[in-house]
Amino acid sequence: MNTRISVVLFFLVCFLGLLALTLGPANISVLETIKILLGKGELDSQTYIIFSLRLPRVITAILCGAILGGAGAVFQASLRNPMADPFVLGVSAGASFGVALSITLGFSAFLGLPISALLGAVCTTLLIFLIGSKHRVSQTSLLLTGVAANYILSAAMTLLMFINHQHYERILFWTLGSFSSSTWEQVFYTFVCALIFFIPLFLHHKEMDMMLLDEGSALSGGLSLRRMRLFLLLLSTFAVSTCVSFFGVIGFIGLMAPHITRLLVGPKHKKMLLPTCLFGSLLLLGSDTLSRILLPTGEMPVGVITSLLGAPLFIWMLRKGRNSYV
Amino acid sequence: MPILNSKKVCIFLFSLIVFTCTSLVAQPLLEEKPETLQQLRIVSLSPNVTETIFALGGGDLLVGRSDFCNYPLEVEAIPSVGMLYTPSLEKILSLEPDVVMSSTSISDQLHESLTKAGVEFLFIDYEENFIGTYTLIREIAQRINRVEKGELLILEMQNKVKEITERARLMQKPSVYLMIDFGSFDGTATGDTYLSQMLEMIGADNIAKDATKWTYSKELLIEKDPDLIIISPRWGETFEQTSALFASTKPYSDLRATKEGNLVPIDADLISRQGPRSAQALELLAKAVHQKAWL
Repeated sequence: MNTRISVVLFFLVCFLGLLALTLGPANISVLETIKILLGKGELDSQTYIIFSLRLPRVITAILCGAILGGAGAVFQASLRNPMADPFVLGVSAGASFGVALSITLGFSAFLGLPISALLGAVCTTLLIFLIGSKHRVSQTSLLLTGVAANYILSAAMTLLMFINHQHYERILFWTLGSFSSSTWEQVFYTFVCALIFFIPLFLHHKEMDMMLLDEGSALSGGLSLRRMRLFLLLLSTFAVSTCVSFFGVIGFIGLMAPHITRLLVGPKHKKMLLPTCLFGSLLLLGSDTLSRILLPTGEMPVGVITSLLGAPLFIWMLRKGRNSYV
Repeated sequence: MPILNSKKVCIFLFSLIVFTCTSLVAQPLLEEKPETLQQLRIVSLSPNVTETIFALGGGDLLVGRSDFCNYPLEVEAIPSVGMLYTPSLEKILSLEPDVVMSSTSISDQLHESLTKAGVEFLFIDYEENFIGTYTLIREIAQRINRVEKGELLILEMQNKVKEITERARLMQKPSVYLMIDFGSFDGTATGDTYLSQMLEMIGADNIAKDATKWTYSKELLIEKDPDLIIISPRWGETFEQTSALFASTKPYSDLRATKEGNLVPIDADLISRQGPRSAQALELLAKAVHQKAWL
């Protein structure tokens, strides 16, 4: 069951990826796309569009989706809360605030946007971790902490935009998210970041299962849970903040992917981690493709589409009272 | 007798002095009084309205402006009431204006508060084309009693526009992209904008004329690969900064115009404001597009 779903999802991602290559404002037919991919393109501009604009974009969307899905699973296990996700808890907002602050202060050149994003995100994660793991907190109070963190950070972002109108649009971009300016360089960095994130993640799937048990049983299992929790949380924070520093805040993928996968394969991380990542890729790639084709000549921020998909699910989960794992 | 004589002389001299003094003091007062009574006090919330008021010779009527009003240089002496959409009501009222003018709509609350305070709000609505620009000038000229000056200005502009469009008709039509923003969102003068009309008027083939709402896509930009890219410096950047960033960012660095160095600057304020400098903006745009052929 597990492998079958992963295989199906993998082929779906590949199929959607190929489909996404043929879609876009520039009219390039499927046949021509295949020709170009085989190196027999006739028009230079079309070859350029496929190889330098669409392909890096498709790949970054797939990688980012996998990272966000995986990070969602980590947050949910570490905080023992199926509603947790880096976006909902304000970690993505922390990263984008870090980016905005460094743009405003003019540090973007030597500190680098990814580093400032990481600093912003780590601070938010530590705050959430302190609140979420010290003593048993209810699901609502954790979520409310996230809501508060999101409020504070978005107010701070608005303040930054207000003070510097000249950076207004560049800061606004980080709050909406877009893959429109993906380059091969970003593909490389995102890929490296994905490797750093996924290898330890897949090695520690057992510990993630243990985290879901109550504190007592986990301790009797001889596991230094608190340390493992913090390690995995920080690791996913690193991966998410890198994505944010390149492509801006993209919400709800980390919530949707693990949740839907858990409904299909159950809560065991050995079974659900890979399909979760693939599902994240599928969702984000689909959203990005939609953002490219919905407007005939311009583009829509991808964050708008993922939020339109994810927010209703979030509300549904709240109403259903999905406090525990399936 | 001599005493009386000197007394008379003294009185005469004294009255002479008093008379000259009073007439000297009273003269300007007598002349100015009716004007000060009538002089309008205007707060302008839009840069193009401010420019128009100055062009009509009414700069001294302005008692307040927005943060964005930066032309002509004299505006710096006029206090600002804040930003375009969120001006400070308190600041406006403290300047005791008779009329607040704007070419962009303000919030209903602000409008209501101004009316309650007895301040007239003049919203100048106009079409996004040259006829609209003339409407704007005419409306402001009427309100500040400078109708003749307004008609003269319009006539001058009409002649200049006619001259430019006729010259441009005889020239080659290069394909052009007007870059307003780049990176994650590509902003340009799309077909539904005033800027695109201006490009057509000066004989340029705007590659984004089929697009709408100021946005474009990188794919179409690459596909159409224009002869020339007009760079409007981004907010807070100089042309050199913006064009250096543009030319070093993918995929813009691979465009033919970038490789051949066909990136030309244009003053963002000048081309984006519909006002008395619009004809001048048209000419600058023509120079930027046709370059040597225009000189």
